[in-house]
Amino acid sequence: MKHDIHLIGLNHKTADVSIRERFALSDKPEAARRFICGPVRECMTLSTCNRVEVLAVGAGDVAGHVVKVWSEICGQPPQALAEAAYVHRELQAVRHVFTVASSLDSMVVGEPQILGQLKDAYRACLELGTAKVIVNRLLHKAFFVAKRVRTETEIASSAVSISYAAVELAKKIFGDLAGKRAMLVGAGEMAELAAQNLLAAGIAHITVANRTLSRAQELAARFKGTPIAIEEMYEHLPETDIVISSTGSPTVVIRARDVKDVLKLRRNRPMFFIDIAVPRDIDPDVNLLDNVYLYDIDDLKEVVEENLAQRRGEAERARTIVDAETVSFANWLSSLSLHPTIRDLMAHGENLARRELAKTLRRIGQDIDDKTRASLETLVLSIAQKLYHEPVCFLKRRTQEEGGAERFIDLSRRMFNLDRDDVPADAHADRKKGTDETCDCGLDEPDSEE
Amino acid sequence: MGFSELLRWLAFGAYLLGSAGVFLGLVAARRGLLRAGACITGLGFAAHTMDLLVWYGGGAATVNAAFYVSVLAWVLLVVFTVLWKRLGLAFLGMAAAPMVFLVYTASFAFSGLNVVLPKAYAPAFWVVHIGALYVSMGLLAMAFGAGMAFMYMEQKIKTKAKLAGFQREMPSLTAFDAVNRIAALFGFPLFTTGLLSGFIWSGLTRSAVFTGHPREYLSLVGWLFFAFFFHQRVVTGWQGRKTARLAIWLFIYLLSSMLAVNLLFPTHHSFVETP
Repeated sequence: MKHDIHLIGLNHKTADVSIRERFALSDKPEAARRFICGPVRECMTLSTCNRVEVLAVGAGDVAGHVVKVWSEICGQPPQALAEAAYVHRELQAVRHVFTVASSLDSMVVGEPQILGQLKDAYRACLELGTAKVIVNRLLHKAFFVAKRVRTETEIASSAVSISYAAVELAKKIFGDLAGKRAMLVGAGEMAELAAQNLLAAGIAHITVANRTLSRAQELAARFKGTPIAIEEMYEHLPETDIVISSTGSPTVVIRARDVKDVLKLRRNRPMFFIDIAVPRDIDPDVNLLDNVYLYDIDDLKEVVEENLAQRRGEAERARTIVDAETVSFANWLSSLSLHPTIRDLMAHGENLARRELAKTLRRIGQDIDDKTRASLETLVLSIAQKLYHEPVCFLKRRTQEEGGAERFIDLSRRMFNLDRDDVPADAHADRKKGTDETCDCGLDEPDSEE
Repeated sequence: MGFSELLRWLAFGAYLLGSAGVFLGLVAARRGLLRAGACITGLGFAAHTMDLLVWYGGGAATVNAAFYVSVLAWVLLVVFTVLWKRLGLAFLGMAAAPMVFLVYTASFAFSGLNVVLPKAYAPAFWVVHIGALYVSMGLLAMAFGAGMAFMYMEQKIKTKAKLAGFQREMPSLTAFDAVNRIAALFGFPLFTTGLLSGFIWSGLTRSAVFTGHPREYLSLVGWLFFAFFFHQRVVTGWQGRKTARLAIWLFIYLLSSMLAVNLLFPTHHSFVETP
């Protein structure tokens, strides 16, 4: 049976949010099941804030069917969707799935969330029972490609947000942030974000200093920190390692000479100042002091821009991985028919027999004549052929059934490992423990969060 | 070629290849290369250890100055391994491996100098004088490497320069500073012990605690320098760039005085028993 892979979708590059929200499928968890009719045999939907996509496998007018059903589900005219959507077919669709999983098609290239979202979407379609041989294999492969891209390139190794860049720099100064103390001076939104990232990185305590004490109390309550009035700031600075300042003050709030005194009280332990206020809150001369590091908003922006440029460069390397894996998937796809599988199966049996024969002959040594040798060879090859005869007959029968071809061919290929896939030692560990009831796709692998 | 000579060439080759592997592995962020470099250095270390055992087994009274310099290279590697395991600072290998190679190579230059050790005092001399001085030198060597790395990275962070390649993988400034602190905290008492034992040794073997040899003056200056480093780090609370710089200069001073004076004035500090 023919298996056409189609990917129909809208993303941040092709459709603005007003269109994406009309065709969003995030609030329609059963949507994938609705696509399974007519020409579509397998389906998976992915709906995030930046993309809505339907992956469908079938034969015939798959794209037309998907557009029609999708419009019905969302109660929108199909023409609006047809005009805005992109349609990828066959290997182009495969490449697109790999590109999305590897975060090469994301708004911020290399961001890790998309892989988690893709895993969630796959998990949902497994629960709905809409994923079969092709979608299963394609998604497993996509997770593998994403992992390769992340380990073999530096696409996700650098911070691309101001607040995360600040945390990364703090780690370069202090190493482990566990046990370190931070102070927010002022209560701006960006400082709040940086504080959240610091807490996620393990910071021990946050002090919030603000002109309005009630606002400081409100923010400190959120971070389980200590609120103080801004006038008390210098009393608390000696025990503070990281200072994030974002007041609306028109003049300097933290002066270099005062920081010098603070350093004496701290016995020169390093301090990191992050000034995200405009106009700046911290005297730039603070950076001239030994063991004090000051970054303002422009410095952090520059770090982020450099990192983004680096990610773009790494994306080129990642695309070569995606291309290679697309070719590998295409090879698997073309093997999904009966005759190549029977050929591979018989060759597998024959190789096995010959290997075992060679081992036995080595053990016996030279004391064996050519006639016996030939007889032994005939014997083992005959056993192998007879052993594989029944599975081949079974396969031929089953492939006549509706949907049986792909299922049983794939099963046989996996059972005898005809594609020479590497199976990790712990591939089924989750099943042994009985923790994962859905699949063995590695969905439990944690994502790193920005 | 005798067995000892074979071991020495093996250690020399392994240190050369290993230090290149470790250095390039760290700079290019190639884990395979780093691991291969570390394994080859380990092989060199095994050959080096065996050579020292064979050498010493041949008679403590006949070891020459090359032996002492060779021991210094061996101790440097031991101290690095301890710090690496304790602090997880594989990056120190970038300084340690080439340094061990250089000191080991330098040991060949000392082969002409004879050092005779009276048997009765040999064990105490080895543990107290050589042991204490060499471990303190090893700690300072690591502080030297960590100090260079600290200055480099601190400059990058202070000037907001772009961190690329291996710089992203480098440990934090605090981790490098921790090596400096350990060198001051443990290195100075050990150096003092080593120096005092040297004077006591001199009193026992030459009937004169202080003989006025240039090396003794240089050692005392080194001790004052080390004392200043210790005081500023431990008592005054200096840390970061200032102490990194101090450790770098102190190590350069002590190493050059140890190597150069031994070459320039070989007879006086050769520990030959006075008749």
